[in-house]
Amino acid sequence: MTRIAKVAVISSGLVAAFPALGGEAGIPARIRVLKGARQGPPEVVPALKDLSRQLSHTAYLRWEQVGELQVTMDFHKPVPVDLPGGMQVVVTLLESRRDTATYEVRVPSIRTRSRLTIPKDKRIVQQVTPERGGEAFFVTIRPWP
Amino acid sequence: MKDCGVFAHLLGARAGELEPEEEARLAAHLGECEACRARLADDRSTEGMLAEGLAEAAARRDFTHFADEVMARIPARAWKEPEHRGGLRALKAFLGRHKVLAVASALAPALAAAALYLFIGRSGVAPEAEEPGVEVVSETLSPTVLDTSDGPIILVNDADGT
Repeated sequence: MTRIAKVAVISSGLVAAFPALGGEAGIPARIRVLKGARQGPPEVVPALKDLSRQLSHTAYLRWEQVGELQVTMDFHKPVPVDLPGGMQVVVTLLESRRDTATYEVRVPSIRTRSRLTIPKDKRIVQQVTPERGGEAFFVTIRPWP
Repeated sequence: MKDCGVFAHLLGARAGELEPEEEARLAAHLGECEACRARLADDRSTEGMLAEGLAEAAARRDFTHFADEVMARIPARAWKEPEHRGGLRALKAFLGRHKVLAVASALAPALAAAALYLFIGRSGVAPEAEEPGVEVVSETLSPTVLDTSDGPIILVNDADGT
């Protein structure tokens, strides 16, 4: 009885401590910066083929990738993403469950902030600049790429 | 004589047990039945003999030291002052004998709480399940969210809709 009790106590302690000691420290993410244009023949560059179906829901016809960042994001640690023209987007990993991740995307220049929760196999595409001359920039985030 | 069977069970009745009517009928029968009178006399002669015999036998026995003799026959270990194992004293005694277990038991909840705190702090895991969703707040633009099978698309337009 005593031995069983000892084993139970030690086991419960180890089980309780395991998530803290072995828990996930961060989540890998692929962050890409895209430029969409309304003018010209429809075209999606090969690097964005995986997004073509999602991008087809917009009014933009030509898509190209202008930047990419592959990073393991720590929780609550902002990751700046530079945009052409000196603008910047700040992406922060807020929370995660087993199959979802929640990000905050801030665009200080247009005073816009979004909180996005997406499943493991999905991507966010967010416009981060207002349209100018038929063109706009977007950021796409995919957790666990 | 023919009614003896009817009154036989009444012969052993004690005083006051019979109804007045039964008592009268029994008296009438005894008045004319010699056999039942003889039987009643015989019953009354032995009445009380058993009780008197038991009392006499008990009187011959000296019970002065009865309790001491019984206790003397019980093994000493069996009648030692019982321990109150269910109480605080038993718990103290148990913990005194198992110090490591006592310390581990005290630390286990604290360790579990600390581990949970660290886990939540490090991973940012929300206590409740986070459903997929989009929440956009903009001070300058008008956001539009398109849900697609591959994930959400968030478009922002100038306030005038352009």
